[in-house]
Amino acid sequence: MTTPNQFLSLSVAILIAATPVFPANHREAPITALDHKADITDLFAFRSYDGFSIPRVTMILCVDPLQEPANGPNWFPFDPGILYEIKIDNNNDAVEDIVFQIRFTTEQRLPNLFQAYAGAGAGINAPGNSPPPVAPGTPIVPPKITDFNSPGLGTRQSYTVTMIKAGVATAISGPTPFYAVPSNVGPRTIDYPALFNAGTYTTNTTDVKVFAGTVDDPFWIDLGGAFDTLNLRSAVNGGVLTPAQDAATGNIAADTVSGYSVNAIAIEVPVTMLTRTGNVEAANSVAATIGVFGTTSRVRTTVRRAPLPEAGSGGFSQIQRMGNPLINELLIGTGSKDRFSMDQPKNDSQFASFFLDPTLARILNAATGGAVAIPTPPRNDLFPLVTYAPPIAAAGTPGGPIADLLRLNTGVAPTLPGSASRLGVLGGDNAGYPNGRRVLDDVTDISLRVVSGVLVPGFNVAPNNRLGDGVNSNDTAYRTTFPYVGDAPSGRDRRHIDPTEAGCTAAAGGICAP
Amino acid sequence: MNLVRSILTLIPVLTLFAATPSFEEKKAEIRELLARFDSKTALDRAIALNKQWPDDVIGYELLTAARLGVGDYAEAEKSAQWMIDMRIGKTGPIGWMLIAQIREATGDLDGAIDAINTGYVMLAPLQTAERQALLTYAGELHLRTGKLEIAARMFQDRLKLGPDAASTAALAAVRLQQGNREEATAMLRKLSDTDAHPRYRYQLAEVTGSPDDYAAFEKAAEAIQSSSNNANRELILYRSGHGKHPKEALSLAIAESRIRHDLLTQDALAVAYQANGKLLEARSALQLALDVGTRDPAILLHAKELGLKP
Repeated sequence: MTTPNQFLSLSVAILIAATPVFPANHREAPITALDHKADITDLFAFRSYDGFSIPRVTMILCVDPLQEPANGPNWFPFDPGILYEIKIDNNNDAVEDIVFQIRFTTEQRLPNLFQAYAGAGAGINAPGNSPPPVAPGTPIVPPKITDFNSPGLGTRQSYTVTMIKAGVATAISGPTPFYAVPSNVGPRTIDYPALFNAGTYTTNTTDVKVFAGTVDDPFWIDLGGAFDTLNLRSAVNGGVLTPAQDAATGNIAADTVSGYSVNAIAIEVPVTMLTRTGNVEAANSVAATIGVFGTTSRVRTTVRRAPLPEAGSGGFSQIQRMGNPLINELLIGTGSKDRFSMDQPKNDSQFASFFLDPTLARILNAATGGAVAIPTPPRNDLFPLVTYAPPIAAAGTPGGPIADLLRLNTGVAPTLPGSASRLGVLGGDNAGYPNGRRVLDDVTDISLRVVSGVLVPGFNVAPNNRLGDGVNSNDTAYRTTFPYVGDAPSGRDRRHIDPTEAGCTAAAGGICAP
Repeated sequence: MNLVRSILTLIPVLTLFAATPSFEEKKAEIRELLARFDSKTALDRAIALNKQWPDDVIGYELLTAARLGVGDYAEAEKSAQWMIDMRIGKTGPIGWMLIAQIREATGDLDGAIDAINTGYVMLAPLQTAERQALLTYAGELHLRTGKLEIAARMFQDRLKLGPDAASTAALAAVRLQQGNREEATAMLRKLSDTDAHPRYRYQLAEVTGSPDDYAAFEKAAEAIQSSSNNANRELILYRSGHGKHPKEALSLAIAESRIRHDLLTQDALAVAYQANGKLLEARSALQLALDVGTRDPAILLHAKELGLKP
């Protein structure tokens, strides 16, 4: 029999032998950098603002970042190995009470074709000089893809939506299978808008709509400037907007994610399906505010092997989660990002120091030589982001544990797009971030300002309240009805707006002139 | 005003981070503690390290190893699960070896072999130390499942990579089970002559039954009794049986159990209690090991003797 020390010594010997004192390979990129398909780029949750009379909430989970639309031949299908979930806490304990699970299935309909999608006009047949054995007139190129049954849609993905509420799973289905909208390969191959419309489903469940597909990345940001240690553009004074720039609807700096697409899953449900009372609660009701987070998970390899009955067998392992935007990106330390991504929101007190004394705030303060003065920690002003607290939740709402959830007061009526402020609550628009998050909310500027302390009396002054990256709107127009996101850029004709491009200064509609 | 007028302005902040003690130095300290079998201190340090850098897979490996060292299988399983979850497909041979140990401890020998196989196929060509350890462990697992030929091959493959007392002793155990007592004895005798760890002298004595061999073992074991890499378990078993000093055995066993609670330490404690006629305490000590789920034949035999059902 092996002795205890001998038992341990095997692994100890390896631990010692295998690891040099200063190895180069232990500081790997965070987990989603290794698993793009599971990488959540954004989560949106907002009261639908299409003018429909029944109050509804739209939730959008975006994954698989920075898709280059021309990147065939396989493009960017959803991963059938991932369980995509949108979770809602409606009783303030930071634990999900309602879960929407989305799972994909991939069908290869043209297994002998060299690319996933193909099509042109009414189709192209073999010409008269086609060598045998292919006879002239034999169909070679299928017709342009115009719907989910088009023969040129070689890779076709369907998906299921399941709602789990009080432990009961309910399928949300439609009169036809749900198909995911593919990448916008190009105008010859695909009628992308037609598929987008066809892929926007009214389900058999009253007032519930679903959508999944490749769309324009709805996020906008000067990503390069932000991650170059906040090296924002001189055109925006290094990150302090002038009043005119702050009010501009167009962009002063280039949207780094312009011309890229992401995969989006959207679901719209009545408010009554989400609140714990089953009613549409008034904004001042303690039952009005919900907490939303999205997760991606993969089948788990367990220490104990299924079907052994012990805890830990089977199930899924969470790869990433997201509640508020930019929390993991800008607040959580690199050495904790994966643990944060994979842990549950109810356990977020372990990350409290990141929330309540943000390093980003200290860098803003240090990098400006103190020009951006910041409040003294603990930053209780940030509590509304990580607890149920006013001004998002009604006074008297139980705060619950510190947890990164996207909190939405479902009792606050939506603002019509023409009246909405990109700065959300900071801009006097209470239907915007951080009361939920709409696609049109400028969460970069909002986050910079909130982190610099504008919610604290005495700190809502310049330069704190004019911090911004100079990207004020998306490069692509959003829809004003479900699923609210814009068309994916064409793979053939996509355009990434570069920092030095002319025409990127406050163009009408926020779209830089070509 | 530029938010980052110069990277120089960031120096105060960056300096704060640079002043953080090196994580690699901390890991090296934990490894040294584990190497000295000071699992308790290693565990304290590993917990602190994990809190500071919760994303680090190596941190979970160290945490798991330390928890295995003190016999906290439930917590070892949790940290090992984080180790797997943290980097899908990135848990290396070391991690899989730790997973194998947990599976073995919980009675899943086939699962343990699967884990070793998973770790083995991950080996890079020059990961010799890992290859050696995995071969030895794989051989031991096959030996415990009665696959003597496969076990022998594993140990032989291991020994082709260099001398190793554990593999030699394990190969001797295979030979013994194959009925080749003479070869087993010769191998263990030769091993003992090389001043190997006293545990191998005990193994030799158990094979030969020679009082001289037991005496040599006892003398060697007593010499390292206070070392963390001791042969106290063998000493407890010996004194509980052939050595006929059950009180001393129990005293030593209780002292050992204060340091760690792994399966074999619990088993030795139960044997010592039994030798002193304290059957209730013996059953209680062994029940803790059985509750983990072990299928270790020696422990199961002791359980049977004590009237416990696994």
